[in-house]
Amino acid sequence: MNGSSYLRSIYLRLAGVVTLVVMLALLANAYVSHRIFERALAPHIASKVSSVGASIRALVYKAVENGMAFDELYGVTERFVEIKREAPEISYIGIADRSGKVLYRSIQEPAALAAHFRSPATIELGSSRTVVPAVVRVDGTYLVSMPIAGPKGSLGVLHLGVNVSFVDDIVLDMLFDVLVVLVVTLFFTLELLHFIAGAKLESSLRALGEAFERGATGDFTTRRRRRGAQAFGSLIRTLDSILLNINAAYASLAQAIEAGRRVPAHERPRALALAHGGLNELSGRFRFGVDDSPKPRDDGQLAKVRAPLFVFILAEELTRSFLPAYTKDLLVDVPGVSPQVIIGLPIALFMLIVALSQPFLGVLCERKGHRQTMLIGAAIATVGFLATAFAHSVLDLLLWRSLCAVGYAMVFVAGQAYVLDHATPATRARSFALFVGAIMAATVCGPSIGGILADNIGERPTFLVAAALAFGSIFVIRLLPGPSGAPRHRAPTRLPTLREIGALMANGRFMMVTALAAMPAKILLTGVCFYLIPLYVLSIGSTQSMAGRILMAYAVVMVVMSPLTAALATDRRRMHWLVGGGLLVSGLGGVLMLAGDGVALVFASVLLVGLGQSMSISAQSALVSEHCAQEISQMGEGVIYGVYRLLERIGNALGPLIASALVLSFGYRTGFIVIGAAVVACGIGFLVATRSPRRRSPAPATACS
Amino acid sequence: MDSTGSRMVAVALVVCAFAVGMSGLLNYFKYRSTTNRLVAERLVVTGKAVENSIQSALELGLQFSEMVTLPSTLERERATDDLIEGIDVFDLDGKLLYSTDRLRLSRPVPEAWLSAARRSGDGYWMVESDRDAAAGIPLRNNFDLPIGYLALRYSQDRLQSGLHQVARQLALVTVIVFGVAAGLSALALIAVIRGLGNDVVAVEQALRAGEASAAYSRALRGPFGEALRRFVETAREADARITDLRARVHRGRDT
Repeated sequence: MNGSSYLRSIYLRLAGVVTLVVMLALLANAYVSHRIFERALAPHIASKVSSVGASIRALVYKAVENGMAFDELYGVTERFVEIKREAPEISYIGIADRSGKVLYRSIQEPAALAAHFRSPATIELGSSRTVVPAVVRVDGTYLVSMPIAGPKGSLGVLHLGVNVSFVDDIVLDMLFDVLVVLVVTLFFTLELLHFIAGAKLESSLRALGEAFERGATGDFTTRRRRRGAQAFGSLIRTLDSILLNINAAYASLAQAIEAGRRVPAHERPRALALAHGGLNELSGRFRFGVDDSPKPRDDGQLAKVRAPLFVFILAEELTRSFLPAYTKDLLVDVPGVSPQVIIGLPIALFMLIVALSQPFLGVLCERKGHRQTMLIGAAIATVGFLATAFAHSVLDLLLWRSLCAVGYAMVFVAGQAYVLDHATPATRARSFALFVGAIMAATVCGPSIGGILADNIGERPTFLVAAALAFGSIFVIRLLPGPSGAPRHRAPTRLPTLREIGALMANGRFMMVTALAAMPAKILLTGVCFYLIPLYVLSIGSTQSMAGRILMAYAVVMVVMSPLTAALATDRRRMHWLVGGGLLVSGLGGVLMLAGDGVALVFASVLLVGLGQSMSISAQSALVSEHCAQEISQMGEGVIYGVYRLLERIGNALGPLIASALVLSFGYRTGFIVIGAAVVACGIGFLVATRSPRRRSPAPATACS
Repeated sequence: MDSTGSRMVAVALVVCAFAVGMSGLLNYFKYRSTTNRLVAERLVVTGKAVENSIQSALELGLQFSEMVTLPSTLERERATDDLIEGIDVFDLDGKLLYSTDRLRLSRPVPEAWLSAARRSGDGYWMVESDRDAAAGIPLRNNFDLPIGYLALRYSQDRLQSGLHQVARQLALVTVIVFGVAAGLSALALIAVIRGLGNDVVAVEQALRAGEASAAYSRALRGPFGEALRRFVETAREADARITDLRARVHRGRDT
């Protein structure tokens, strides 16, 4: 039994059934809401159509008062065309005479409508005095009929129709959001399963797997009984009892042989000597006795960091799709700085603070402990989100976003250190997968839900939701073990010296990976995804929900593709191709905007960016240790990766600034294209540079944090 | 497995509350935004009629601030729609020039109107408020230059009561759907966990019944089959060797 794959299959089955039920529930909710909408919106549609009808009727009255014959009015159908342009949901406009014969029409009416116009009840309407007429449904049309009465009595009836698909379109539009909710629900379910049942299920399965494995490898030693209830306690006890019985049988046999050996040698039967030899052989093949080895570390402690990270990072990701638009609303004149650059400043400042503060926060985390650092970080971010929700202008917004950045950096650094401290070298990659998994899940869920909330309840209330999430994460962080629960088996964090930073920046091999690959990739990510997309999507008349959906698509591609591409990065040559190819593909995502405008193109562009980033992200950091083995042996892995991450995150900060400068000079589309083309150029440069004959012999690939 | 079962019920409750709750919230906000749009567009139709009258007067050479017939036009248009409580016309600086409610002429235009009007550019604007709810349009002269704004005040209370009624219906539907979904997903989750429990029980029964039993053959085909086979084979080997040695010891004693 492979515990982790079995557990994954259990999780997927559990998440699958919940998603299926939720999907059916959402469809049922949409169906019933459709009925409610139809009933509730019909009077509003009637009132609006009546207002439009009143303006048409006024024109007819004016013409008739001026002596024109009712059946010889001029320019009526032209006016109908204008009205349809102003109120597109009106599908039909017609004026019928007293007999129900249509004199003027916007389009040829269906037979059912023509029959309705000639019905006695409708003709009777011509002489009624109803102010707001009732809406009736005829065939596929909601119809409002208004009397046209001149001084000499009834002239006819004005009919305005709205296609019933009007309500369908509203519900269909909502279904996109419902789909987003469904995807988010799937990820949310997995996270919740991890949080609520994961640790217990995982430890039970691990205990079961251990019991099976002990038996299979012939380890029959007795151990101290496990404390606490196990999900498969009965089976584990059965397995243990089988092992115990064999151990006891061995002990009894050994005792019997030992007792036999106590008699003088010449009296010992020959069979006893043979049995003694067999016993020695048996103890060589199998393990018996009592196992006093120390208890292995409980991986359940490691999994505990996933939930707080998910909740906290979800708070920040929630703001991703609407932050630039929110900043735009708070713009004030800053002499010498263009509005486009100011819009990019909160993102750039956030990224810069995260980049620069992380090395110092690593040291702080070691002093205060993971839990304390995360608690302080979450509290600072909560205040930041709250204040952001009430920001007066972009100037105080910068301050509040800085608080959010400090909080984010503290939680991130402490979370990362927690994983490092609870992982062994053998489980390091798996432990980091847990850390990255929580972040990616938040990246999928946050922007889309944030966009939907911003569109519906407003941007400020959505920041309050983010504050509530950050505050809520405090309660989950409190469940983490305190300082004593964090075993340390790594060297203390040390800040890189300026000399070391300078030496690395002058190192061609280090800078090839950092400046040609890592930084351009991050500039593209923050410049295009975090700055350009939210603003561009709004500028072409779409919504923040759409921006959120697009960013969710990026995250989904990353979640799906990253494990696949990471598995391909098995040697240096492949890593080079993955990084170079990833840069080319993601850069082409930006260049794709050459093809034109529109949300569909942005979607396609983001899918390419996501695919490219997923290709290069794992290989990039592994390549640092591949190319800098000598520097790592001199300065230490921590320093090399510290400087690498610092420069990478400075790329994060530069992205929005570069994008805003491009928007200022050339506009949004050119911003996409120029950044994309620059990344393509970096990709080509990287591939050319890594094809040079100066390459050293390949070293085994190791994934580093 | 009981505690796992209760945890699964908790998962089902939270997930369904999130998904169905979000969907209910979306339904409500979609309805509200559609209603607001329909109301605003309905009011704007009336506003356009007033704008046409103003432009006709401007064509005749009248000053925007000196249209003596405009108050009666405003009053007439106000009467065309019972939702409209009053119509106000104000200049670009927010000075109220005409109103169907004379008492308002001495008061300043609400700041929310002015900022919404300025933000909207060429489109219509809407301010939702308990006291000053209004929809409006910019007014332009015959040279297409902005000269002021027109605001149509409406009864927010009337809209709210309709909105609350729909909100109640949507909430009821959401609660029912949530209840059914939570119940179903809890049952489905428990069934999956029970399936896992059955796999475990099958292994336990196989161990008790022995290798020759049908239970053992069945368990070998389950998810724990390979682990069970290796466990049993090794245990059997060790047991057989111990039994064999014990027999030798006994034989030795007997001789």
